[in-house]
Amino acid sequence: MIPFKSKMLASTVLPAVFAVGLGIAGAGLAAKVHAACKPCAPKRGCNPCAAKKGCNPCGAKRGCNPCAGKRGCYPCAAKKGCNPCAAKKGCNPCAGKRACGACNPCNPCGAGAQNFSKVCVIPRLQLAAKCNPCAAKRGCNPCAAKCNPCGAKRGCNPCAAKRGCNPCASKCNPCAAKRGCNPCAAKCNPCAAKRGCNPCGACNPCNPCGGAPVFELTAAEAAAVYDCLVKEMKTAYGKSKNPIAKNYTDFRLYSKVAYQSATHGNRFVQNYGNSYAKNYGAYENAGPFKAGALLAKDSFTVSPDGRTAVGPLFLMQKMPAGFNKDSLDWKYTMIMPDGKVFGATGGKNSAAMNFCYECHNGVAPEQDAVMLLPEEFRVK
Amino acid sequence: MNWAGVLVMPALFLSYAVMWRLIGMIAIFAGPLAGPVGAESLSDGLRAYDAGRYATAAGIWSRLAEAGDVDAQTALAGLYVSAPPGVSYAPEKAAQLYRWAAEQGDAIAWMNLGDFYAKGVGVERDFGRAAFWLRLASEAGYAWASERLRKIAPMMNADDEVTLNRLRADWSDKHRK
Repeated sequence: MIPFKSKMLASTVLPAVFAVGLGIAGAGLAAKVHAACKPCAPKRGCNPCAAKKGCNPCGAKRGCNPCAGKRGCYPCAAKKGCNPCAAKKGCNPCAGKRACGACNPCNPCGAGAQNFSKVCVIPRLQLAAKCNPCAAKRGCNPCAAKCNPCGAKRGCNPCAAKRGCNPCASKCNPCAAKRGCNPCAAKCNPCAAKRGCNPCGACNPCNPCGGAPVFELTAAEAAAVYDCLVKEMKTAYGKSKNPIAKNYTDFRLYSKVAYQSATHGNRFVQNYGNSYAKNYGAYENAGPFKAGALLAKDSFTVSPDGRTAVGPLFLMQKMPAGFNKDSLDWKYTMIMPDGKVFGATGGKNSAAMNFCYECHNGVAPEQDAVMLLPEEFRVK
Repeated sequence: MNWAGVLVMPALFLSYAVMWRLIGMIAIFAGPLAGPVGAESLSDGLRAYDAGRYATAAGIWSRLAEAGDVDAQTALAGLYVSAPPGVSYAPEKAAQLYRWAAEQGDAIAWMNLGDFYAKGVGVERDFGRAAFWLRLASEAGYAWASERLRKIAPMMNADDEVTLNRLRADWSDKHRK
């Protein structure tokens, strides 16, 4: 017979432990569901400012500039002769010195196997970034010395000159875009007016957890960057063994200019199609595609500071009937800028590519899972 | 003495115990169905990357890379060098990740690590090591690596040749079947 004490233990303590476990599992799942960055969530590394003073990334005096005073954030500052912006002698005073070479956005001669482009930039955004106290966080901060929004009196910080550090501190949400309150909003914060007031929103360059920023490039800017980047793109994709990665630009181009694709992470993309995919040009009236049709979409990203970088190459290839019922016989392939074929339907990491058709299958049935580009960008 | 209470209380206690046992059983059996807490896959990272949530992708791939996932290592390395919004440019970290993946036999990692050594990005420039990794990728059929190898060949000196031969011998020893 089981003693009363053991029975009590088995009846209350152990089930309680299981219940706690169930609670933790539930909480974990809930956290996963809400994995996206919540506004002002004091998540470490998410919003460097939020945790310190509520919701206002400019509220905290030093917290507003995550690089201020932090060694390692501005690795070149302390090194004599190694200021990447100084460039007194020759082109690169830091050449060959790893610490500076790696992080130096001021130095156009710095060594770089980086995938972001050294030459293809958006001058307008670069200019805006100089005034945006949140933008220049990447590596060496060329503005750090004079552009600390709390430290400087003039120059990059139009708020500083008025009333102490931040004239709007009590009610100055940097996304509020009220001209009187935030004199930076109109020209310094490229996202301010676009997506409400959520400082953790997808468009906030202060928030590394947010989604890709949404920038509007003019057609001329998009065209210039694409023309500048296309060679780098082909070199990048050409690292893979995929033959399409080398010759996709020989296909017909269906977009007038690189446009921002919300369904591809707000990257700028261009659409190409091979001869089997010529009905793509009929857009809404394209009908089903035949086996052999191939659509290629190269991409690039734009950073808040105007830099651009090669993004992945997305391929859709119509395979013979029966290839994959779920994907409507389309083979989706994603080639990364370092040549890695991340996955392909029916091939490597096939399951990881399922989200492609899960999204593409959402279009009207007569479109055969093909998404159409906005009308203003279509080549007729 | 209230005999009714004496009889009812143990009955209530037993039903209470049964309830807790049921909850415990649910916790035991439902737990595995729900999956491990915080489990993330390569696909989760890819979804985030595709959606432009680069920092989220980096976080997921970082945890998988630490656990030895080769695809996550190369994906994260790629993020560190392309430095999209939300991810800082970190070539040293990228080189380390490519090295981990390269040592596990990933040909893309061989090619990119070789390129890093050739350019001195994230590592000290070393044409011997560059040639070693690029040659492995070239032998695996990567034309880009072959082309790159041809370009750096004239820049190699005697020391680089020694390094190359030593690394090839070490690699053969380590990977001899």
